[in-house]
Amino acid sequence: MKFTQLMLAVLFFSAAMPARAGELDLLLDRLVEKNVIDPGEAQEIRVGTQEEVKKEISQQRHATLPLWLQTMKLRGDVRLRYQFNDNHNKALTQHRGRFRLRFFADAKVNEKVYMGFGFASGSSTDPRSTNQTFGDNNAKKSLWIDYVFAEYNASDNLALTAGRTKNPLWLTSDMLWDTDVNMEGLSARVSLPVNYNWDIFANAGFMALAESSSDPKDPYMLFAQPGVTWRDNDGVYDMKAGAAVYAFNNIEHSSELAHRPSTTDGYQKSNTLVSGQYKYSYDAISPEIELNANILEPVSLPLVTSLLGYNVSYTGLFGNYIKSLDHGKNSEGWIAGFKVGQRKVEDAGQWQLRYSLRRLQKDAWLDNYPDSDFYGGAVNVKGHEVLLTLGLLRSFAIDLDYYQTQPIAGGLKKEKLFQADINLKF
Amino acid sequence: MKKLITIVMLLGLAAQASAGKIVLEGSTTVLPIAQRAAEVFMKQNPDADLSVRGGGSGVGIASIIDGTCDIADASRAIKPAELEKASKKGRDLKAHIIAMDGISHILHPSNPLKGLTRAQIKQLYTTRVKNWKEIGGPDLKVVVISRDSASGTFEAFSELVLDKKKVRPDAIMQASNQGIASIVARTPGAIGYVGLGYVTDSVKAIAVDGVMPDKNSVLRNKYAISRPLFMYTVGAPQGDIKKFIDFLKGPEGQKIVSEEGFVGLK
Repeated sequence: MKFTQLMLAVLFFSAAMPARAGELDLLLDRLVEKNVIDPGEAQEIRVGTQEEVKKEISQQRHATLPLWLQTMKLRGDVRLRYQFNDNHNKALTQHRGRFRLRFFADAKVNEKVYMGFGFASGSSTDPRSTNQTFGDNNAKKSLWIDYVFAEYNASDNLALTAGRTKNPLWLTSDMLWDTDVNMEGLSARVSLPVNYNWDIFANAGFMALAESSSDPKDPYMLFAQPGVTWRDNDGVYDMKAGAAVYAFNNIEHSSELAHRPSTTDGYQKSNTLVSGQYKYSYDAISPEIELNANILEPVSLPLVTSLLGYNVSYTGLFGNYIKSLDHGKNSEGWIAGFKVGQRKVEDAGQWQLRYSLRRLQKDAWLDNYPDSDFYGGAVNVKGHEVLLTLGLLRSFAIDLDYYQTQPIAGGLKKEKLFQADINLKF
Repeated sequence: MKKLITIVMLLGLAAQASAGKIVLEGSTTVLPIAQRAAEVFMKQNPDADLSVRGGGSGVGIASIIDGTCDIADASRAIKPAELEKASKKGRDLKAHIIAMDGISHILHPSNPLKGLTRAQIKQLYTTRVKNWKEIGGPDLKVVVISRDSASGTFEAFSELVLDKKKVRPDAIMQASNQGIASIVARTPGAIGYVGLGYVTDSVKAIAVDGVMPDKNSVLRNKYAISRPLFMYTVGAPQGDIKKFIDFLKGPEGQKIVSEEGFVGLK
């Protein structure tokens, strides 16, 4: 077989099956073994083919596809959950099977502007939950618009976002903001590298909380969060710290906002109301910090290492404090915790254990936003959370999450909540 | 008036001369091959005028896209973003593979280590390993030498060994293979990486994952940190550019490749 003919055959082969580069390698290796071609010719064909295919893809993309389609990313995740609630305010314990489906897309509209949207499951418009509970005699479930935004990248250091967006604040925990809460409004993100060790960042924005045609004083929130990140020269330690300042407007003396904790589910509504209106404004300051250490000589835990194959290569500490600024009574909250295991759980056998202890007083924060799994998302609560994440396969992990929570004051009783989740990302 | 005519004629001649000049620019790894090949080619073809300069693979590819060189030398494959940029400018870049290279890891000859794994090299380049004894070597301070980020050798090394992690901040950055080889030859605790052609008796090449970089291991894909070396032209080469590429890929050019310490394809 002539070299040119062979080249054409291989090009045809690779064009027909561009995803099967491994098969091309196998074919070339066999041809070398049988002395049909020499190793140099095999390399020339292999590399030449890769280059031609790459060029064709590039030229086709440039010629035929608009930018948004070239840059569109589709992602999503599925979570399957078993949940056990033992709320002592209720007569019965509760076993539930639940699922969450989320599907996201984002794309570049032009060189400066991104857009994105996401759909999520959920049994209601509750901003703090995307779960659907198995039941209702196999009735079909709903899909909601979870977020939709446009982002203008003014420079490498400044991005402006408008719409219903993922929470733009940097957070170490869900004490104040349930991870499902998306914000509706405007935000800006600034990041500035100072040197190899230090970066500074800031988030700021406006969030609409309610809109009424009959009341000119719509409540809204302004926020600003300056912060810094630091890493050492050796890639061992790093730190991130920030302090958010929240200014709630038209909350004090206004009617309660929607989506407070459910009293029928055995939880409490604790923010102080006078004649059905908020007594305080809930302006607050909230510093938080995260310290991380990569362990260069990973520590072996005999049982864990032999079972999972991974030593302890990471540990971290995190904490968040909040102080409501316009009153002194029951106006504080805090969370402190640690993480140990691997920094990220991305593959089989990797694991991370996270523990936190928190206490959130009744008027430290509005009870519309905290983690809905921690005593129904209420304030006036304290308790522990232990979360073990274990990688089963790549992008496939199991979470075992246990909460023991109770009110700080009042007549309600404690709750134990256990969740076993299977998480798949795509 | 006569002066004006003379100047115009001289400018015309100069323009003609520059039109015949072939400019090669880019990778410092490819540079010795390109220089030797250009010298021999010009001796055989007295009318041909080749000018060779380095700068790094990224510089060479940017130049050919901008039209300021005729042949871009590269020790890495062109990136999709560069291909798109070329496509937007209507330049159809054609890749010519001229040789293979193994990125060789070199130590000072007094270092008794004979080999390292890619994981150990990654650890040396991205973390705070301070002494060779931490990874089973002699009691000697580790001095890490790396290429700067414009280098194709660095990009290949970063992708194949570091998984694109950042090089430790105390690494000594060098703009050329020669610079790395020179420092390693003078520094007992140093580790560096260079193209095969820069491995001399003054440094010690080591095995990576148990495989020494040589012609056989590179050509047969046994040595993990191997890569092709390229020359890029705009479209299918014509005239003297075609003659030069054919020369380089032919027996004489491939002999030069081998003599310069790289792996020829023939």
